[in-house]
Amino acid sequence: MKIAVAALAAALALGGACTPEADDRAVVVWHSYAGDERAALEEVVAGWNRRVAAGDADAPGPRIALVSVPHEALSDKLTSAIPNGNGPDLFIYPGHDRIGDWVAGGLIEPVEYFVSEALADRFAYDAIAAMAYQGSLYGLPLAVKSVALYYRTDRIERPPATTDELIALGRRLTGGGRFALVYDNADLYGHAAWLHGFGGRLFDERGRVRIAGPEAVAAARFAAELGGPGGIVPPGMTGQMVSTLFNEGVAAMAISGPWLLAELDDGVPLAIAPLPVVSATGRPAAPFFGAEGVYMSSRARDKDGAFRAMAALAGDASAIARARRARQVVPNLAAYREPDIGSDPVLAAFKAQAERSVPMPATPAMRVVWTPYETALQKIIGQGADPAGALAAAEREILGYLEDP
Amino acid sequence: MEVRTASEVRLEGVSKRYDGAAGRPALEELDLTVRPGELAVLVGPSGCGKSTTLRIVAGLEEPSSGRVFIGEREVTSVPPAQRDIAMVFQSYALYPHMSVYDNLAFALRMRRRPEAEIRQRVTQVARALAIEEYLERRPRALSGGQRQRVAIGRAVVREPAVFLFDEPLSNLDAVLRGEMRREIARIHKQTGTTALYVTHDQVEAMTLADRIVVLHGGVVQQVGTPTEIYQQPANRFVAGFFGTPAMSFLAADVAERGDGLCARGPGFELPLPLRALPCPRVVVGLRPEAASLERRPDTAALAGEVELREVLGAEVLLHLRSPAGPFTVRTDARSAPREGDALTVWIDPRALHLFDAETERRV
Amino acid sequence: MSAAATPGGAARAARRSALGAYAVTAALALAIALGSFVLHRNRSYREREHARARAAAEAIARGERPAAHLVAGGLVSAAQPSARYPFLRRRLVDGRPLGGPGAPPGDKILYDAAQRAEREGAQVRFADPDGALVLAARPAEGGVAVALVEAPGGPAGLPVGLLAGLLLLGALVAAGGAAAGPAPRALGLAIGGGALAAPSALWGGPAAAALVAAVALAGAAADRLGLLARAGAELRRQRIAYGFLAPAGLAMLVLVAVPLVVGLALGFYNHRHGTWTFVGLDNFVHILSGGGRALSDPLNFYFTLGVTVLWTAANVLLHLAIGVALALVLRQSWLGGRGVYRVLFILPWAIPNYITALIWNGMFQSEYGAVNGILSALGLDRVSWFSELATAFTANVCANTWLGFPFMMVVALGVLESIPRDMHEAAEVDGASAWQRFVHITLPHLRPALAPAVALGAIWTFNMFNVIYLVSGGAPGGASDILVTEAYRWAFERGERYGLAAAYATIIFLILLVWTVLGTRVTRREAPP
Repeated sequence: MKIAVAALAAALALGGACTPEADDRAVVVWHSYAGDERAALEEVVAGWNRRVAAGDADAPGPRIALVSVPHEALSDKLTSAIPNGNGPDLFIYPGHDRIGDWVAGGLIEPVEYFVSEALADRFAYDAIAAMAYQGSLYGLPLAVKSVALYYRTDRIERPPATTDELIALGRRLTGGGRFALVYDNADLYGHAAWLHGFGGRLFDERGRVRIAGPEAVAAARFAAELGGPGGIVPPGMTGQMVSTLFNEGVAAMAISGPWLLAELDDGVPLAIAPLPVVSATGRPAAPFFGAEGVYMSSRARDKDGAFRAMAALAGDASAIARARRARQVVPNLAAYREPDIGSDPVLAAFKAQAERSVPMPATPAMRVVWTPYETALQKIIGQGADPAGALAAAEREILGYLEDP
Repeated sequence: MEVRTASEVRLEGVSKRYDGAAGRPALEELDLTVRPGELAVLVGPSGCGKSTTLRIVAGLEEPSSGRVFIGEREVTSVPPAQRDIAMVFQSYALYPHMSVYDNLAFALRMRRRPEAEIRQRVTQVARALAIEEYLERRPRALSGGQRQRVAIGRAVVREPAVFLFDEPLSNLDAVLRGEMRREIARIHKQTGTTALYVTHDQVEAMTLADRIVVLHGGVVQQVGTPTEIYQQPANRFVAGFFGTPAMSFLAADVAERGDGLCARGPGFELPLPLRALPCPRVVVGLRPEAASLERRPDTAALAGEVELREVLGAEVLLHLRSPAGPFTVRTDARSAPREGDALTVWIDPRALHLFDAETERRV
Repeated sequence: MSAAATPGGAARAARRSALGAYAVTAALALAIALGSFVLHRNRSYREREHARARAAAEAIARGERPAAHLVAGGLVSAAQPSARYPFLRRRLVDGRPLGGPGAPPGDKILYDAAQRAEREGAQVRFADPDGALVLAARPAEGGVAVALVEAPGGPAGLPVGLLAGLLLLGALVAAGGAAAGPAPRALGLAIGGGALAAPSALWGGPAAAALVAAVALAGAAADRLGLLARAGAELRRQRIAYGFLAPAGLAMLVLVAVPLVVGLALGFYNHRHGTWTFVGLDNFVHILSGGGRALSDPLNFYFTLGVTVLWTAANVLLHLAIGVALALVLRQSWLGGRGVYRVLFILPWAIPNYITALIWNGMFQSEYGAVNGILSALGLDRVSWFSELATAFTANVCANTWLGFPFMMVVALGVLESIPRDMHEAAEVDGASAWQRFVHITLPHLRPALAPAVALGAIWTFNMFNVIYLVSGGAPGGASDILVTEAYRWAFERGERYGLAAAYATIIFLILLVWTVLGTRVTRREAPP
């Protein structure tokens, strides 16, 4: 019995010492990719590590060790692990809107110190600008995400260029249980395109919440026209319904992001176009865009080495591999000089739309805005409430959350 | 207590089958009449159908065929509540969350009698049954005997046309059983209500019944007064069921002897006071008290060996072994025979019971 | 007890027991002393090192160059932002460009510190988690003066010798007092235990010293009253039992008691961006005064409380009624396939309730949901379930009733099967109709068994987070939220107001506590037959 216990203890100790990740000089990178994106990332990192091992002059090291974290848990794990020193050196996060939170919590490190103008020039301006907050740069962009207009080529020949055309086309295509357009209209993320297209915004120049101005009211009225009774969008929309209805052909158009492609069946005849221009203002409907980026933990041990790894992950070679393999809309300008990437219609469409998008605000106050705004949208679209009143009530509610003791 | 005109209970051709004719029916073509004011006891071993009969009379079960009458009314399909019967259950079935008073009053309240009348009837019955001081208690605070009195009281206070008793004394100890038996007899005499009483205990049957109905296998074996049942059992089953200790049975052939017949078996020959018998083989029934150790005139001999001697105080039971089979003899305490002794007993042939060996009926 | 016949033996026994009592008191006092030492040590270390760093930064601002302990430092020039990128800028330190290839690693720290100081003003802080490096920055002429100094030696060590000596002295006093008699014994314990008050006063101020003195006096009093001796004897006598209880007790402490106490305590704080400030009863006042909102506003505590109480009552009543009714039906002899029905009726209870909630949410969807599909097939108008409180509430109740009736049904079935059959027959013979039999026989049997089920069911329903959150999601606008989902939203959707959410949770706990106590009183009056 005692021998068995001793043997077990020895085995555990040996096993503990032999963990493959026990390489102190590797930079640990957390990510929540799955499927093609994960495969592309692993390919990139494997290539880098090979070059580092071979002593390549372009790859001075250090090695990168990838750790996959479930998507829902990533944010919570970061906020609990980094302050205790158990976090990664770098992490990849599918969005940039939490930068404000992380800076306030002291979780991430400003990196503009390492970044030269030449490096910044390699990225689309908006993408790298989204990684900035309060005058410092906190990460490098890996991909951009925004919504665009999907349309079924078996029902529509030419996508609408303005909102008037959209409504006219929509009226023709709606009826008999079918609808012209599906999008998550009760979600601020989906509604943002119209909000910006009408000239509205969420925060004023001084960063205070202002969501009840006349432009926001006009945008909400437009959304009610689209989604209310007699509209071209089905009532009671949810995100899940978007892919189901577009897939089945019940809807002819859908406003959604690159993630929709994975949820559609093969063989659905579709094309992607930028969102139309708002006829009332002449401005293009500009959705939020989110920049997916790689950030550095404030507790990373070797910051210079970590930045070299960061630059490798966001570099042109990585971008080309990820655009090819996983069809990510990468912000690296060099990638689009590759013929296959440059001519991919899907990537081109999303890239064009990204250029007409508005970066999602990164202030901590943003987190409080979502729910009340969505409640107001539900009332306006679903119950026909007065937009001015509903938005004003939402603004009061948000201010209440932000200013209460 | 008031005395109503008592009702007759009649069953005509009542049969009961469970689960569609698989196996033997519980009751087969039962015809039974209980006379008004009579206490009839249904007695028999377990599974003989006595409880089923009682429940059919109560209306808790419907007969597969046949008709039931209470008084002049046919009640075959009438629900129990409307048959004007009262039942005392083996397990008392008292309502545990109600006081004794409420238990007794329950049925009257269900029939919406005025409270004053209820109070009067309940206190009267409680006094008669000596449970007046327990009226405010709950059943769980009473002993077994007291609970049984309450159960009886619950039936009595209804003043029904028929009392039905379903083995009410089986859960009591021997002393209490005797006491309650006399109590029931007294109540029956006082109220004069027709009563149907089910038991498996032949002592209760013998002591309580005006008439006994013996059931076996769903078929009535005999109906008669206790004396008739005991002295002239209709068949071997009834003969063997009543009497403690039970009657001894000896198989024998019928043979001629002189002017008459005798029953001849291994080791014995008993003259029979009959001229003719319809069957060649008989079973001879011998009650223990019918044999004597002394030779008297006109008695026949039966020899055996004492296997067991049971001393009962006032008397002694001798269990003998003989070539004809075992038999039991009752004698008084001073008799000498010990275990192992050879013994000859003397029997008066007129005290013998004879049963056809084939049909087991009395001859 | 051991043979203490001789006076010497009695004195020894007295000393031994006194030392035992002293050990208990001294352990507590030592814990207090250590705690105050650590707090004091950390604070004085921080002040000393911060002062040192600040002085170094001052020197740099004046143009001097302090060499002692300076790891990196200098006057960082103002930024020259790049033309195209407002977030990229170049700085110089002491005339040398910051950063670039081959730069010393301290450069980044200087750059970041200058950046932050320009935005937030002068600051001092530890630069690493171990507290070995201190960073001070202050705006100065020509830029920002930054100094990164290392702390020579770490924080002061624990004065083990001093503590050990005081403990020994205390032990001697206690033992000596014990040998002299009962009154000197108590005095000796008090003085001996209080020996650690002196250093505690140095470290933690009068509060810590008073605490130690209180502990010593309490220990002496307990010993005088014999409490300690009795407790010790009890522990020794039942040590096996306590030994078995210890692991479970520890688990309960860690998993139940500690979170409960922490949760209660959090209610008195306010959380903002990672910092906690003590606000006393402000959170409770804010909640209980309705948050300054009208009574019809869903964010008013009383509105939510009303919805919660209505929700609980409706559900429990429906569960009871349906559960008991189904149990009665399942007992009927004319019902065939009883086993199949029982399994079917248990299924709602067996399926995880969040799956059920999601399915119900889908079924109540206004355009494509099953419920509206049935309504329109019957020729009725479709209902927009989640756009009004009444209909959203109904949807929630439907889902939760589907989930909850099997529990009541199972309890009722168990009771019904235990009611003796001849009691029903006796009542039948007595003339009771089916309804009267139910009221007078079945119900009185059901009541004592269902009372705890109802109490439990009420508590579970009161806190049923999954159904409310997943079926109606609080629609419309938070109106159908109950107290527990409201607390969740305060914590996670409204700016991490953890203190307010903790206060909410405490109030919910108190409501349910009162309910449970009342309920126990009521059921105890009706003992089962």
